[in-house]
Amino acid sequence: MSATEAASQAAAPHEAGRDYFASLARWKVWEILFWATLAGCYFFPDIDRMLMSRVIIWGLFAMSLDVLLGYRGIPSLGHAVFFGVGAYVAGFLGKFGWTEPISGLFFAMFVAGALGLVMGKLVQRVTGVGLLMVTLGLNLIVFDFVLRSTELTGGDDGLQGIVIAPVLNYFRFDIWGRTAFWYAFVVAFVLFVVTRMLLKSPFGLALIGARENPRRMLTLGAPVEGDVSRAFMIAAALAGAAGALLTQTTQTAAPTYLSFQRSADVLVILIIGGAGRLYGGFIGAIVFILLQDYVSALSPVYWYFWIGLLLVIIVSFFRKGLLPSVEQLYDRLRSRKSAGPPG
Amino acid sequence: MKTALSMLAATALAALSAQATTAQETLKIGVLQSYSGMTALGGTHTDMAIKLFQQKYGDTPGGFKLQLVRRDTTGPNPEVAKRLVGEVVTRERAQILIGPDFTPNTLAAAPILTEAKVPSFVTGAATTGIVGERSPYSARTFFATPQLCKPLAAYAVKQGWNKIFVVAADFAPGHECEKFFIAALKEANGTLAGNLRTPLSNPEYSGYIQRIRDAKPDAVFIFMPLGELSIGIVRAINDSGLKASGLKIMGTGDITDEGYVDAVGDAALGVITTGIYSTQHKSALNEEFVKGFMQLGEGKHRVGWSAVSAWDAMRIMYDALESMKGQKFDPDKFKAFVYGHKFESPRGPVQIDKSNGDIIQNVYIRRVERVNGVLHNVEIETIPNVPFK
Repeated sequence: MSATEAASQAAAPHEAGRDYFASLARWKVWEILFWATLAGCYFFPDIDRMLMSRVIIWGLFAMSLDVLLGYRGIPSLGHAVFFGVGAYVAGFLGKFGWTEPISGLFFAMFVAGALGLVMGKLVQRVTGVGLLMVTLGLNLIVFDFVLRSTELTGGDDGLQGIVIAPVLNYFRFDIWGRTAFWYAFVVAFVLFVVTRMLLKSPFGLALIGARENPRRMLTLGAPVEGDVSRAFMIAAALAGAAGALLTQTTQTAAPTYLSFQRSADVLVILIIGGAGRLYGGFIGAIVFILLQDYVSALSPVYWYFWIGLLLVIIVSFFRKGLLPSVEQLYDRLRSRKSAGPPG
Repeated sequence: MKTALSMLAATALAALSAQATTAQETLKIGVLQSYSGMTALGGTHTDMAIKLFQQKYGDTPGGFKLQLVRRDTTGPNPEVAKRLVGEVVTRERAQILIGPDFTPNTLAAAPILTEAKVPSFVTGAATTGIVGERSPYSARTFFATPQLCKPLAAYAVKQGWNKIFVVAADFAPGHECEKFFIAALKEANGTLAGNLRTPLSNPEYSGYIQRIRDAKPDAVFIFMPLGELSIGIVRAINDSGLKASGLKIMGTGDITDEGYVDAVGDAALGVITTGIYSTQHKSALNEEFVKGFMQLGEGKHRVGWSAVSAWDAMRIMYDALESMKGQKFDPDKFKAFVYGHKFESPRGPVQIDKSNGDIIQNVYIRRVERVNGVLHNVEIETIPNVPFK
């Protein structure tokens, strides 16, 4: 009796930690609502499913940047490299006979992740503006390589002859985007769950710690530099998955997939949605891509102007991004409610 | 009871609208061009040409009420183009497309157009083998790369310029053009003095000019994308004194495009190019076209090739729809009319190939001259019915 009591007492601090992480990892109602709504979009009668699959893909891509920027505080101006590498790997597989999409996706993630690890090793000691320069430089190099090696990549014309087999040998990628939607949704959801698990674990906490105060984390004995390259690897693999999804759902791969413009766009999407929230990328993608589509259809000639204007407005009214601003508002309302007289 | 009533009402409505369609069927035409970014001029000119055409011929050819659905492809961006084509075809239910522009976009659109049986007009992509080979309902009103890249080889040799140096921009169309020109040169028994590929993002030509000088060619053949690079290289060759020492400058029409030949200035005088269209083409139709276009653009725009391509796409479309007067729109009948269609364009006689919808047209050898104080590409020789291969 006393022996078990002593044992449970010894385990208590561990248990407290476990409870803490368990509470972190618990799914909130609005999270379930979010994914249910996203899935429910499919059944909306006049929905453009191709567009929605694109939104999901961009959301996943922005989430991958969130791992770096939001959780570890590493700004990257070259994130499209990993997206593009994933896209081209999936494209090459499809072109040279490996048409099965799911294994192709994993392989693309693997290659992009490996590149991310190397990249992370390169930049793990660099900080601030230097980091921007290095990532931007890498992006330009890879972009130029893809654009110029026309025999290999088709250059400007993009990769031709990509064939993607039906998902699970049954669901063909059709022009209505039915398969594209579900394929993108399921992949994005699964990867989201995995990422969420990683970030709500001690590893994620260590990333946030290093973001807030790297020196303190060092004195605690946390492998700060190693974590940078690991974070890069995870982010790159996720971005690679997004790229592969885009290639597989559209059967195209082009140099624009890894242009600097795309790196900038994904940063904008994440900032609009709010960094460090995991959902910021998805919210930003919904706003940015739908807005882009709507405005560009309304005014094909001047839409960039309107997009720019709306971006300025969004950023100046929601300083930290949409999601954190909404969160703040919600907290304020709740505290007012609880502070009010009971009854 | 209520449901039965509403169903009845719905059937009545459907019957009514069906009657309306036989009287005048609305036909949506997707116009997918670049309206933003560096390549926005193509979209602007396409729109102007369509507007000009509809001013003259109305918007109900063959009793079909046309409705335009415009979308911005943003440049060579297959991801966007593919999605827009999908959207315009599946949701807007467009039944004919003008565009998308650029080779990667055209290729990305092909599977959708094939599956949905939507005829399209390629008005802004020049790579070979991307029309009927990829989507059996497409036709091209632009040009195919060999049409511009081959003829100058034989022309140069005929003029006694035997040693020719080739400079091409280092991108896919550049490689293709270089290949065609060198092959044609071999066929014409000319000599290749050397060839160079210049980067797309390096406007510093002095090193390259020196290599041309060392090779001592009679003429240089240039292929550059539309825009800054074309202006840069013609001026660089002129400034180096090579042109003054007798080197002939040749190239595809891109290097002396009407859009910026004024910026090249006197350096462009005497440059020989191949082209499918010049505002100076002598025909009544062209005179009227140029006049109308100038009026529409208030003199700010000189007519570019994308405008002529769009005009011709409209011409074919209207002729085809007229031929289907009183019937329902049918893509197969449309295609049967378009493939093999012959007509007079502002650029001269044009024919759409019967087997794969590519274009057969005259190619003109032009020389840059001053006409009434303005630099123009004046046609000096016509090569009739040049095939697309």
